[in-house]
Amino acid sequence: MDKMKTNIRQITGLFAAALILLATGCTDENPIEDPTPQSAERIYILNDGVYGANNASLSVLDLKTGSVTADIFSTANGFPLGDTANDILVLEDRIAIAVNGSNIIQICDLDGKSIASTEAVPNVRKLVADEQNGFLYATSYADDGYVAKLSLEDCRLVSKAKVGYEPEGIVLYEGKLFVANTGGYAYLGGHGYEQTVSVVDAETMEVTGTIDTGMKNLYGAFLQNEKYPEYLLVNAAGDYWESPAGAVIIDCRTCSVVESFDFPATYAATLGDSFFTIGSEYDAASNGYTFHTNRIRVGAEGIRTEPGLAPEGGSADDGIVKAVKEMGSPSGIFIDSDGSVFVADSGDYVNRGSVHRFGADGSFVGKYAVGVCPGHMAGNR
Amino acid sequence: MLRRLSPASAADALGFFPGVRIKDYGGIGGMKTVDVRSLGSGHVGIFIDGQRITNAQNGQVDLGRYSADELESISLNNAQRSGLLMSAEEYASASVVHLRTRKPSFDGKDWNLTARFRAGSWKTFSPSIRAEKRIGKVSLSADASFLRSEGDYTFRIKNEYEDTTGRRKGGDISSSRLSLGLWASPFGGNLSLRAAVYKSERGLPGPVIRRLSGLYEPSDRQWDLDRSVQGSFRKSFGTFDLLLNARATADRLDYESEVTGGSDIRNSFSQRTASLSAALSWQPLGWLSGGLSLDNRLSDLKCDVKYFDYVSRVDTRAAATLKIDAGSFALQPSVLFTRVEDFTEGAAKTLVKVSPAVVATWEDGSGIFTARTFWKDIFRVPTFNDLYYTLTGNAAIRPEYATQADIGFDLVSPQGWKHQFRLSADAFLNRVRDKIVAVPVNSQFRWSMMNFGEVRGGGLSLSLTHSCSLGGLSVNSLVTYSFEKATDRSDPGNIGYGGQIPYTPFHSGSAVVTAAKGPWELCVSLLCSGKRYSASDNNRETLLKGWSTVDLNLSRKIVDIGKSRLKGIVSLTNLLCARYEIVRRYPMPGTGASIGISLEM
Repeated sequence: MDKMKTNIRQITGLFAAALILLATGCTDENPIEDPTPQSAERIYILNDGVYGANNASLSVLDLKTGSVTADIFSTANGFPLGDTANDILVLEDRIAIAVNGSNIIQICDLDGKSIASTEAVPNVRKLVADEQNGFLYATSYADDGYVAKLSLEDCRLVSKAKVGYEPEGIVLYEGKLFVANTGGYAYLGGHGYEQTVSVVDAETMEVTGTIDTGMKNLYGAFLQNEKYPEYLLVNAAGDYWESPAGAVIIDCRTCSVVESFDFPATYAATLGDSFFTIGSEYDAASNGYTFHTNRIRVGAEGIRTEPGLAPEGGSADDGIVKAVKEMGSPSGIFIDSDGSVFVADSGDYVNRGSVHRFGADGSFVGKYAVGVCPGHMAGNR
Repeated sequence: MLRRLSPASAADALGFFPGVRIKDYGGIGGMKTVDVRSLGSGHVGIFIDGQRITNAQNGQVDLGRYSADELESISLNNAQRSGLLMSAEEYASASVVHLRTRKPSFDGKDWNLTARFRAGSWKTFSPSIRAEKRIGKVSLSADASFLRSEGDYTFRIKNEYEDTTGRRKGGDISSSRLSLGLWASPFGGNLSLRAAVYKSERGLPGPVIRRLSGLYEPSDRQWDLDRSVQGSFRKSFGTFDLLLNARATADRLDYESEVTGGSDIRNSFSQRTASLSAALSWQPLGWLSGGLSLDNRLSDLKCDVKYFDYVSRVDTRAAATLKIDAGSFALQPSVLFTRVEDFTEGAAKTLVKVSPAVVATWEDGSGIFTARTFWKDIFRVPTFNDLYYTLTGNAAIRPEYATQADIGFDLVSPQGWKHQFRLSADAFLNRVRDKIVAVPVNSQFRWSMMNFGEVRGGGLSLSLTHSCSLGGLSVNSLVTYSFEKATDRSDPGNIGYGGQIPYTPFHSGSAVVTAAKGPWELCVSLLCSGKRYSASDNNRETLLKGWSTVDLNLSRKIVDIGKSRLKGIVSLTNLLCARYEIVRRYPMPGTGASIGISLEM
């Protein structure tokens, strides 16, 4: 799964704007006109690994040379990342990784060297950061579900907030945390699948409310739109028996559902006013699965869907859609600011997977072998 | 050989056969399954005194719980035994392992009593007792043992990415075993009856993964209660031989998994079986003989896993074989008919299959050289877990097929030679189709059983046994070597296509040498495995280095007290303290030691 850090972009954008003001204030030379953000130099690929195999790894794809470094973490530290990684944040000067199987939250520098780590949040799932204030928020399946607040500097646990069962995705919007509850342990019989998003005040860590999405098992993409971060895409995986998969859009300003879709958006990326989604839907009758690809646009003109995954000239059979249909197991999508699309393929989930790279028009650029179960990608700039 | 090796269990002894791989998760309590020629452990039929030990739920027989003390012999046959009087079940696997329990023998007196006590590393101790009595023409035996071990061995995983040391926690085991046997000769035939109970509680530590501290050390727990009763009756009627078998079992398994930060999940599984088999062999002419058999077995499973309904199964098998002897040459084709029907919510379609096999041998008249070849096409029936387990089960699963071809020879030293030896060599080819594997359906969170996979393999296996007596010293040795190439042929688009399948070493071997003189007996054994990979994508990350372990057993008769004998034994396992894993992330113990004494009366 990918996670575009729109809040990082915002901060970087603000910083750049401040610099511009300062610069133009001091000198007339080098007027900065072009607002197009720089694309990433490298793409970080977090390979989840296989549960129990201790083979989670952090690969780096150098966009200039097209070469992949298999595992920068173990090379930098002399010990492996751990078992079953689940999420990655690429921040200004550091990377945060949730290593679920090892119960570790790992913070390292942009070259993989460990800065801090903690075992304070067992069964850790997803992460979001508030770089400005120096906090990291993590969801956990332990203790019937909670959100932990930690220091981004040294991983020290600050406080916790109890939310729904098995909380997964988490985003931060204007001082409020939005948390997707899945109820994923429902198959054990203790409780049912969840269908709410919890809203938590990030400073006080008090739950201020819940949003009922009307759909079960909010597992999968949970992502703010890049241009309009008030729009939050929430995937619902369904209960694998009766309740089907689907997705909703929540308006974080009103804390309400503004649109529902009958297709799943299991993996999603955002660029400008769009979400680009790949949904996988399991069909019990045929014991197989189908993939749905969609582009969802949000903004003043309302919410509408379009076919295709290529940011420029996308269509129902653009190069990326065709490639996704051929893949064994698409397991993540990430779009760089210049429109380059990266799709991860986990193959058989046991052997190494790969990342496919496409241009903004959907043309194929390259395929790279990475680690086992490449689930999450993020860029730096 | 079995007694001198002093293996803890049947699994340890089997590891010395060529082509056999024991999958071991470490520790005395860990599950140990056997895989022959990389076909998969589901393809090995395990028999005790001629009757199959089954587990309809997951198809796995834990050989670690069959104590070697109770066994007379363990044998392995590829394809099937060459016999005429065999139950249909004996034709139904790609390889068969026969465990035979000790039948009492009385040396002039009419009772025997053996008491044993063993204690060793990791707080292991095991007392056992065996009593045998003869009453007229009937022999009785009672065998009881208890085992307790903390299993807290130190380990080390060292490779280019890490150097992790620690001590295994939660790997304890307590088990007790009682078996009763009866041998008699009613109606001019031979009758044997056996009743056995096995009860255990054990911890199963998880894989060794990165930790910052000892804060989280999850370990599962398992409780077992296995009860079985079986009987076998054999009688000759002129040119006919009759074999009747009956067996009934009731097994209960309770399994508890630890969930970090949550409540533990505990499930209970009860399985029962009742089986009957009748086999007839006939030799009407010197050159023609044949066998017929009919088996029926009822099995059922009841468990409290949510949405896993009660299921019962009727297995019916019939086999026919013909043996044609033409001088030095013998041909024995056989055919097996199988019918399996399940009764449950969403039951699979009734399975009906016909499976052929053919064995041919050529012997030179003197019994020195025998050439043999076989071809066999057989399958393994999907287990209840494969078909019906909640969320992962798939009632549309087909059986998994194993086709084998083999050619080999045996060379035996002539009678009367000072050095007795036997050399066996085989070359074989295998193909496994419709492999039943767990495949992730749309994420790591959700897997499902599917027929997906094909493996093509081949190899060589050699074994040499030797024995001789020089003065008072008698020496017996066994050396084996196996070469195997088993490649994944499931999906050409997959990065692992064409790679060596997981956990299959290219080269492996073993050696056992025992020397006895006077009151002393020494046994040194060696097990070697070459490198293997933990995934069919063979690369540096998936490489598991080869390993070898040396074990040593030294026993001495301490004193004779009248007709009783007191013996002492010292055992050292993994003498060279090899640090290795058989299954990735499950490190094996280092050097272990134990001492024991036994009193035979």
